[in-house]
Amino acid sequence: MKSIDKIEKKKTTETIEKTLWNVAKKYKTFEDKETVPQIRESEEDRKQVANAYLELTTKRHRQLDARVYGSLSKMQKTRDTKIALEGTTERDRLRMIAWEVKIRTQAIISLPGDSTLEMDIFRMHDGNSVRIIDGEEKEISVEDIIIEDKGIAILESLPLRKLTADQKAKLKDEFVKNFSGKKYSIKELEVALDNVNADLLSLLIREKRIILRKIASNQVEILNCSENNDQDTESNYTSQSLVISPKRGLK
Amino acid sequence: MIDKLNDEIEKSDEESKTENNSAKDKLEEEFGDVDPQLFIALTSRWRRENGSLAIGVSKNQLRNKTGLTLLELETTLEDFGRKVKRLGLELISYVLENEEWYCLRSIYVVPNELTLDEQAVLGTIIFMVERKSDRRRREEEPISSSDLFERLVKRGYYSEYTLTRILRTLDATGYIRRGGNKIKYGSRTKIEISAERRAEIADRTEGMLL
Repeated sequence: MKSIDKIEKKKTTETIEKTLWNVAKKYKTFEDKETVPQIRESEEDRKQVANAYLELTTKRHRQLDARVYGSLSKMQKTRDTKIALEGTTERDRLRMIAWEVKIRTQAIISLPGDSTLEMDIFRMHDGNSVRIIDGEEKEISVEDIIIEDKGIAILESLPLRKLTADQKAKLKDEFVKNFSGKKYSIKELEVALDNVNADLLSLLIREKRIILRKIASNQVEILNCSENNDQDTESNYTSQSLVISPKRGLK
Repeated sequence: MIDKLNDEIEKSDEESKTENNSAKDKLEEEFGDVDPQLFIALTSRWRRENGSLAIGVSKNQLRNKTGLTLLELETTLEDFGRKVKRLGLELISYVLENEEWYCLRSIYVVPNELTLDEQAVLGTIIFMVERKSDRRRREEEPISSSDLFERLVKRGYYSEYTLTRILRTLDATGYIRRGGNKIKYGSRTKIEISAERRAEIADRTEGMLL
């Protein structure tokens, strides 16, 4: 009779150990996956292990039991948090985390800006390896990036080059060929000229190779001095001053 | 017997007082009024060669410039520490790259210089480090920045650009240290938020980022 009791007790102990293990393993998986089971499911698990304490015999059993209860209460806490956070926006949750940090900070005291006292009496600024930060470094670094980008863009769009005398003569000839003897309204001329050609126009007028003649209130004519060999050309006509803004080649 | 002992104690007290006074006199003779200068030195910010931020003044700098002995320096600082305590400040020392530094910290919880987003990211980092670390050994395990990006960028809290910018600010202000893919506490987090409070933050923020 006694031996039957012993066998039965052993059997129950084994069953309870198995149940505890299963529940413990189940909740470890939940924890790793950061998921939470339904309340009903947790409640069933709790009922399963509720009477386990009656059968606990060894220290290992008790540890296992404690672990299962630890997991159950942790799950409950996580579930509560999730319910409490329902309907909150991402911004709200970030604000809550920030608040938890904010209410626990014993800040270091530091004073930015130039000091009114002569601190160099201790001569601590003479080393090259250290420097004092004035104001917020964040702002300075952002500005640096913007300036750097602009610098590159300007360099790429305006390459500097020097022209030889031959190249200059060629450019002048081309201009005379393309523009002399033609009549333009001011708007047409602005559209036809780019910055380089506008410079050439001024230069050639100064060199008296061409004449810019106003023929109507809004119309001009470009005359080639060397072509019109009339002795009178130079004496009869004088160039008109004209302010134009070249439009060609602008984006 | 007791009288004799008391006499001796008084004598040693007086000796330390005169020692303290003589150190102070020596400093004042050489540098003028010492307290305002100490206050400025202890509240200054330094950018070190490796980019890390140090606040306050190092023991070596103070000793080199004042020429005081270790004992004289410590008594001068202790004296100063007692004075600032009345203003709600405390003089603390910390170790930065094998060098001892002194700075002033508020005794109370006061506003810090971080923005809301920077505090939220710092809170998340604290949560992740505390969860990863073994509390019994009191050693902090660094976390990988890809884990942090997974949590905050993939779940839609911040854009990658914003988070990178916030991390750069936290690094520059000394709250975190970054190396390769790893993030760990900077000296400032350890000074401003004690170990117990960090554990509390981790506990309270658990599950907040759904």
